[in-house]
Amino acid sequence: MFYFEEDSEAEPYSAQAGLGLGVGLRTAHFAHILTHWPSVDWFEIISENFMDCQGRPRYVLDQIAERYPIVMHGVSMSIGSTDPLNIEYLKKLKRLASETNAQWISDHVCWTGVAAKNTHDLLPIPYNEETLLHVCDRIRTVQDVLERPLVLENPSTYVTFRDSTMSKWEFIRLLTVETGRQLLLDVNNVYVSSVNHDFDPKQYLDSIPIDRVVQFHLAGHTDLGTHCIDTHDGKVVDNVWELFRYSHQRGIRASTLLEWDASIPEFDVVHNEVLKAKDYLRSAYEFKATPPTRQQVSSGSHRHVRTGHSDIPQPALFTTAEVE
Amino acid sequence: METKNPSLRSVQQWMQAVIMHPDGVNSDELVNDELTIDNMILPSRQLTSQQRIEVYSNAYYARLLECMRDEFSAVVALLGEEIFNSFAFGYLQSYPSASYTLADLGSQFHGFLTDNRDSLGDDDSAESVEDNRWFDFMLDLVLLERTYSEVFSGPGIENIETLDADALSAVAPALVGDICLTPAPCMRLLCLKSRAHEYAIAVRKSGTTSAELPRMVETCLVVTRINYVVRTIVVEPDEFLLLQKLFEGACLDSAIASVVEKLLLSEEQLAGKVADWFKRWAMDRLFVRFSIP
Repeated sequence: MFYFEEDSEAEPYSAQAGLGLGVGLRTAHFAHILTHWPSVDWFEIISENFMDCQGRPRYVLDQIAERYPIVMHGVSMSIGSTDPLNIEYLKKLKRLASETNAQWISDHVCWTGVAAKNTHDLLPIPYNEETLLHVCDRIRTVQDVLERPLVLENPSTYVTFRDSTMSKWEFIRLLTVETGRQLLLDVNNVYVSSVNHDFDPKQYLDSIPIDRVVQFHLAGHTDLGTHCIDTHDGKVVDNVWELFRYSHQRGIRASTLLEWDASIPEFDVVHNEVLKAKDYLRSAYEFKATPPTRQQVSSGSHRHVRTGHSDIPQPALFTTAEVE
Repeated sequence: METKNPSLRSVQQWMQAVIMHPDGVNSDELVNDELTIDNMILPSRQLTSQQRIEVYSNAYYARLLECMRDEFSAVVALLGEEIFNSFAFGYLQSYPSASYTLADLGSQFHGFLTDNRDSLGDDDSAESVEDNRWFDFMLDLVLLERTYSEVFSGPGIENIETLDADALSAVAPALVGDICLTPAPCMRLLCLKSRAHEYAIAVRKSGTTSAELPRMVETCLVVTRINYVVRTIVVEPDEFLLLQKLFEGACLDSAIASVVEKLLLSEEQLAGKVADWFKRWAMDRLFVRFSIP
């Protein structure tokens, strides 16, 4: 039997925890969704792709928002940057959230640029006291502007700064404690980072405050043997599913979302992938989860090398014009 | 003596400079006694410090070039991916993104290319003429595809009334010349040196084009959006000129006078055409209202 350390009081799992099982809304699937209105529990949008849009993507979003719960997920808040926060951007986020009745707004624990530039990447921060204070201050400012809680996600990272004085998970935990904010726990990012930084993903998950997680992210990645890249271009690998199951066995109850951003297949393929979560959730109480250990992650013995196709982390989504 | 850790600001400025540098993370321009890759980044078991930061530096241009290729697919079809990447790579160095949205990434591409055509010859040699013809066609495509993006995502007329053909009939004849028309917010007027729209639409429809460049002939286009889909309308030069004047806010009499003067037409010649144009503009929903100042 699995040993439940922190969740003995937890309710038995329901697939409808939170919003249930959702998928990332992508333009490639617009036609399918509008035609079939699939039985997806909810959709997550990339905020920046809609906040200025007055064309078809926004029109489609408005229709979808009438039928499904919407969550907004951003990539440009740059909460960790030392540039001033973009208040105009935050106001637009707030407006879109209001117009789509978004359940919550999320972004990443990262920075995207300084000196008024945007690299459009989720860049890592040094995990130390200075950064912690800086990010906590900015979270409070953002929440004041948004007038709602900000949910932050753990990103995949590829470097470790010498300046870091604490682990990623310790930083995330302290950030949560200091600000009372909620977490978007990306288990694929935990896995990718564990490979890239030689740590035990279970140790990371064990440090996450159970009651602060409102959402899971699942995605595919590319395993290059020496390191993994968070490419969102394929199915979720077994090791990530095991971490997902382990998270539930720890007692985390949260809405679950699958991201698929490159080499995007038919909608049903994406939907079926997230529906696999049901099996893992069902089994979470029947079997002991065996998430990969640090040794297995480091040695590659539990890994399927080159599962994805791309080398670009977190691929950006550009909306192409429809021309007659 | 204890060394002081660089501030968060310094770390971010350093990392951004490293990953955005066009020569890669080893560029001589990045040499700094204190802020070196090895001093800033720890190695992992499998990768050196440099290999680790190269994940970001390799991704920076790759990601943005992919977005540029998505927006300018016809230009990619014309140039091939390698040459397109070369132009776009230069552009991204001159105009790094300063926006939270990738929708703005290509906004200066046409201006950048226009400013950088100096290397082309301006003599009458066949090679020079061909180079300029090719470059002009590329500029047309870039302008057109950027316009498509802006019209597709910008404000439209899907939820507003537009001016119908009968709307002006209620205006007293003596006042018709004073009418000013408000263009649809999605309407753009483009005067190109080629029939680039044929090429761009062929690429979007089939992904392939013939090896031949389209004819280089002055082409007047109205780009607009109907039911959220971008539409390209070819118009004659006199119609285009009148639309341009009306678009700029001129009243009907003044706009017609400009066209008559510029194209050496008689007012009678033009009057016959204007009535037909109005009917078509109403069908294409080019104007949303009129006013009489």
